Amino acid sequence: MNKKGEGSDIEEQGAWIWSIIELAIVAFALFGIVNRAMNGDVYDNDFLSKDLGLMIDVAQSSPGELNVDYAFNKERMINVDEKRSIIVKSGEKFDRIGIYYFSYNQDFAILNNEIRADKININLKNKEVKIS
Amino acid sequence: MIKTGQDIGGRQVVEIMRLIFLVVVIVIISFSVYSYIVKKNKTGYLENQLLVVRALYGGDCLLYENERVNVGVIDLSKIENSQKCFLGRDFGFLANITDKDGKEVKNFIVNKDMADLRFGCNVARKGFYCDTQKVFVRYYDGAEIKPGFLELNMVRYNE
Repeated sequence: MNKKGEGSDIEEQGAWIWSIIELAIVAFALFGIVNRAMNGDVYDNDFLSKDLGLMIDVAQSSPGELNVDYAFNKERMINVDEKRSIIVKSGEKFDRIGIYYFSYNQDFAILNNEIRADKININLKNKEVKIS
Repeated sequence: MIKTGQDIGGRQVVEIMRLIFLVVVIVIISFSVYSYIVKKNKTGYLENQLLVVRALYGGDCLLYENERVNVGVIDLSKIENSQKCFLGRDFGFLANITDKDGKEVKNFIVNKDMADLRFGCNVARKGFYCDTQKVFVRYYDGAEIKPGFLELNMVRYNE
């Protein structure tokens, strides 16, 4: 004998539908996260920010001159805060930025505008590190 | 039996709580995935080495100058410059310059707030990368150039 009323059945069905929607949200979100992680942008942004940041560190530790052409596999946005950090973005939706905090030597000037390009040039001359 | 309005309201609260819980779980999973992907790029040791290189080769910051800059020769009278040559938010170090017999000649601290955390290196390393690097140097004491050692006890935030 079914003791549940009609209202209770509807409510139970609603709960099931709600659970399925929740499950779909989780599956969709996880798929998106893993997919974004697997396409390499997260790793690339992190790697490039560290690599370029370390190069700025090297330039400030160099007694001579330096000229480096650096090409990426695709277009990136590079932003250098003169005394603090370098940020690399791929510029896509829900982008996860790569950021590196370099050590700054006051004897040096670090010149930069925000760049959007698939290659950059790092040049050190007369204690000026120019990123273009 | 049809539930009362109060019961339905209670159920909605439970559903909202479940939704919040799910969002928290998704955020935790996404952070875990991203952290796993970038964790291979640990560069703490390299970054510390670059600070040593900067002390020895980085322009005229700490280096002895006569007619030219003497690369690898630290001028003890320039130690006060050290603060402006090593600006940064996530590292600090205590540097000791000793003579060839290990007797202390001079020491200086860069970024004191961070450098003071080195006392915790042996207790709780999590969250910090601690490192000691010792290199052969020459130093100028105002009279002559002498051989010695530069030891840097460094602390930096772990990425």
